[in-house]
Amino acid sequence: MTNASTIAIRLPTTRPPETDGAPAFTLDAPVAGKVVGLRTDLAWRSWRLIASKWAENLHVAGATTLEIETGAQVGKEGHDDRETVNEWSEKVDFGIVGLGTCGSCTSFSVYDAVTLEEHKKPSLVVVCSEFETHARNMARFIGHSNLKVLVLPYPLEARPEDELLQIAEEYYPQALELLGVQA
Amino acid sequence: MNVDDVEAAVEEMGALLRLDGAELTVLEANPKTARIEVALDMTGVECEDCVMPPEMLEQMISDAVARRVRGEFELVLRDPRRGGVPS
Amino acid sequence: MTQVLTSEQVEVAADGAALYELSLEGRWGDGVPILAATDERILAMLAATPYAADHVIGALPPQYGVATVELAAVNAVMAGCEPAAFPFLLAAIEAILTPEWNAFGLTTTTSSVFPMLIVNGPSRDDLQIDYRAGCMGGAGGRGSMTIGRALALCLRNIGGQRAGETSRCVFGQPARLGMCFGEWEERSPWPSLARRRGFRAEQDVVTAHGGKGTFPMADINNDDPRDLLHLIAKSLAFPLSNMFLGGTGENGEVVLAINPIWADRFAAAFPAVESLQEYLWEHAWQPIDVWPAGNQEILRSKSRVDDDGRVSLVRRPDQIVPIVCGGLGSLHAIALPSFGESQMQSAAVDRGTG
Repeated sequence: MTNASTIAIRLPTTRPPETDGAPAFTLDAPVAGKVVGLRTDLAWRSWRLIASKWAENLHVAGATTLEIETGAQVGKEGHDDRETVNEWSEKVDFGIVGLGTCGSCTSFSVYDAVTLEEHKKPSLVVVCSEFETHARNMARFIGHSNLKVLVLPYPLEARPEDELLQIAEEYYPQALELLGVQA
Repeated sequence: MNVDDVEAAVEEMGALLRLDGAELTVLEANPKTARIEVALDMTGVECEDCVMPPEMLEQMISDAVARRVRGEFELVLRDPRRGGVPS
Repeated sequence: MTQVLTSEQVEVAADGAALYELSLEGRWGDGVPILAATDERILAMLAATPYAADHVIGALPPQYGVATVELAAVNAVMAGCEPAAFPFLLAAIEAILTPEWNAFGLTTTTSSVFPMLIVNGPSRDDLQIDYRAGCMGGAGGRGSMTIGRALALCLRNIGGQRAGETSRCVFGQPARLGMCFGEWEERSPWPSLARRRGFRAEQDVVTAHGGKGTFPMADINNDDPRDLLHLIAKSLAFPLSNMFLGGTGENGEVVLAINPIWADRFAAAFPAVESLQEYLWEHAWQPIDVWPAGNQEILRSKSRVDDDGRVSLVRRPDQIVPIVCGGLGSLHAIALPSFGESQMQSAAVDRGTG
């Protein structure tokens, strides 16, 4: 019922669907003998350098790495990239996906990291601090609020190589810890 | 663009030209394309110099149309003094 | 069809200014006054479509709120749409939800990109969808001003897109209030955009382009169509275009809006639109030495530099999309630069009349 001084209106908003976060996985084992997936992005050289340093560390620890690089979000190339991520997810024991340092690349990093979780593999998405909230939101929006997120300093792109390598070393133990790697 | 308005605007000028024996005819007034094409017939004109020059005539037709028609239009005047080539 | 409305209802003061304040306070407005979404107005919207109120159009990113026809209608009422325009909004939502449009990426990016709606078909005049003078802003046609705005409101209120929160946009752009315009098909010497995309002339069609902004070009010095197109192509290939940022230049389209006077000139040299696109593509490149050494290295690593040292804006001629619109004052063209990782999508307007 309304009276002359009021009207009834409908609100234009809706709440996002409530979802329990899909389970996240941890390795709970040493990396030796494991196949570790590293996903880089054509756009971000800083992350390519950090990932290559982590690959070296993983090799020293007795793991092998399987590295892929994505570059597109749509079209045939985008489709091929997602297919590559899917196949890669099947082959690795766990994986690290980056880099979230822009809006859409963070969204797609989260999306590709979730692909690993959907294969029941431990998964870590790497983002810069400026995009941490966005990454966590995107993970929640697509039903994977438990996705593990490693936060690197922002920005990375303008930093010199020696500084990036220092960041790689500094954050490597944290990446392993989030993934449940045992010493 | 209303075709009747275009016709009326062109007739304003046509009435003046008729005094010298010339005729103005609307060949096309298309609201969809905003194109107006007008032809000048001078076959009945005895004093060609008495008819205003093509550029001035075109401007006056354009002004007359603009007074009656809302929005943009493109006017093409086919004048035999230009060899029938639109301006 | 009897429609049952289920969206949340509240009672508010029957006063436009109070409603406006409420929309600001509740953050479901876009900063501009809105119309009250009363049941009567919502039902009038629904009557213009063949769909039930609870029909699900899809989940709108970034928050993946479920867009029902009813919720779209509520937002359309608020935006000021007339009911006859409502099916155009539904077509626009359908277009941006096509995966290749990449709504997931475009609603969250740092870029200013936003859906720009290009309308073809017989209803442009009836709905006041601007395609002549001032069509990209200023003409003020109701359809142009409200359909785009309704889509923006849907992204905000259903998709949850909020600047600085769920959207990481740095600047945004004026089109984020909504942008919708038509093509002046009757003045185009080439088949319309919709015809080229496989639709029939009698269909109303909405094409969503992920456009980064309106990029203006002007010339008063050139009478040769080929020379002018050469300059346009060079302008499209500006060095900081998104098309040079991404991977291979394989994805995305650059829309080139050509005024009707220039269109006639260009058509004299290029009667087929494909030949026009080919010519533009052949000239839409920059020499690699335009970029500093660091950028050169990256472009080379992405195989973007050809044997002659040229870096093409896009991979294929069809990625440059000419349309005809705008006023008869000539002198200007406008590009709608691409985000890159988005492919334009078109949807026919469905009124349920077969």
